[in-house]
Amino acid sequence: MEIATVLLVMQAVQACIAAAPGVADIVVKAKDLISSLFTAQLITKAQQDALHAHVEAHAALVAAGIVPPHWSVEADPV
Amino acid sequence: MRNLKTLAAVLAVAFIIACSGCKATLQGGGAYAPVSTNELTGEIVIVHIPDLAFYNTDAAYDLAYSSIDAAFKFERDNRLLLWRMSPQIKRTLDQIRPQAVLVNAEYLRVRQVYLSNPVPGGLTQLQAVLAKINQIAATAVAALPKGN
Repeated sequence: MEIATVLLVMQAVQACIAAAPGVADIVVKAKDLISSLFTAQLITKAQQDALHAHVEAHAALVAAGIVPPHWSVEADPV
Repeated sequence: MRNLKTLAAVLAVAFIIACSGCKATLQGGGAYAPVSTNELTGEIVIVHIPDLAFYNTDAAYDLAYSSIDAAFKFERDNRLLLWRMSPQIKRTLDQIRPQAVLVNAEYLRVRQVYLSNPVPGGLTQLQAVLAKINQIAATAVAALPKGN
């Protein structure tokens, strides 16, 4: 794998490590990603399809113009 | 903070060394290694060369997206408490929220282009957008109080 790709992936892992405590889902994703980089494991069809479906779900939201409320700028508390 | 930077540097070197020696493989038939069956002979035919770089790019995107989402949600769910702690937390996140929406849409648009025409240049473009998303994820996470 190219070094540039590895560094990009590592940046994402670094960000998630900082955000991760208490967010189990992110920890699992980070673990899977590190495994796929470090080990000569087989990435199963189910794993591939799950990732693809997850990203496609994001794409469907964007295509529908849906922005989650916590991604929007809201008024400051008074 | 200094220890964290050292750890990050060590991890970067470890990643580079480790990745030069071992490589995961994609099981045929998955979304990133599509195959089809020849109807006449029953043979399995590889439709595209397995695209591990694309898989890792998408996985890193999904991870960065989750980090951003978690940071935004944490702030919104605890807004009053965090506002009393420091109004700067919400202000910092409000500065990057519109950027996050735009860059996320950009990644998904470039990804769609790559899916329809998977050439190396397309993947490079996708990784350039991923770099922006990573930057946003780092800023979002850094804005939150430590220890949450």
